Amino acid sequence: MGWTSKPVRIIEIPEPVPESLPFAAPITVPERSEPEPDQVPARQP
Amino acid sequence: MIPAIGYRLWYADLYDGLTRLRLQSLLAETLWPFRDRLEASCERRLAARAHWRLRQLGVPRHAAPALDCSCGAHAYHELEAMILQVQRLGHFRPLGDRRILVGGAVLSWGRLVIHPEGFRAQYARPLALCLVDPVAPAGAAEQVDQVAAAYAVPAVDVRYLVAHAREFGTSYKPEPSPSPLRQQLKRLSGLIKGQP
Repeated sequence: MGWTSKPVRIIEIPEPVPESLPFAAPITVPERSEPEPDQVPARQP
Repeated sequence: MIPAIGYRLWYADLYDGLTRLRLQSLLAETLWPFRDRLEASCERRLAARAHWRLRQLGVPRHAAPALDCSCGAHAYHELEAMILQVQRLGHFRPLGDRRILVGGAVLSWGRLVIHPEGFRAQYARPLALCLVDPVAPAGAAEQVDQVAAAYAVPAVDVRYLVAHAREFGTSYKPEPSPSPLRQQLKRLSGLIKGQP
């Protein structure tokens, strides 16, 4: 895909604001954690 | 300034354990990162480390894209140019090559070296992908869907690629310079009208 023509000009574009970008936020999967002992419901007799 | 939009091609090979789901540049074989921007680097300089001929020519250390190099993340200004490239190389595929040709729009920023047919950018990130492979095997559309999902971008029909991309950036295609003949005609018409 390399260009065979000579460059016309150089420009500098600032980094776009993330909110203006269409990219979906990275999917974050919450880590599975074991329930604390005191959170484990007591087994009913 | 608004980020630049461009159109380009990649290869994707879902059967390759190394590149799986990753977009791969056609020439430089750069693997584009998932859900992040690609920061361009000069592969020619990297190649010069290993190749004596390039080392003899001397490739000074530079940030990509440099004016007098071919480095940077390439993209065409126009979708039509990308389609023409598909027609040029899409039908020639070695036997057993399982790669599919994926087209797409990219958003680019940072330093941009503008050429008449496209640009070379410091940073680029895919905006949307589409299947453009004329010899795509069965199931290629589903493969593009998987790649697009990995990059968190939509897989769209090529007809809607431009409309989608224009929502997020603009084209920096330079105005075509007038041809010498046109310039001469303009000067002649000025002389006829009595203008210098």
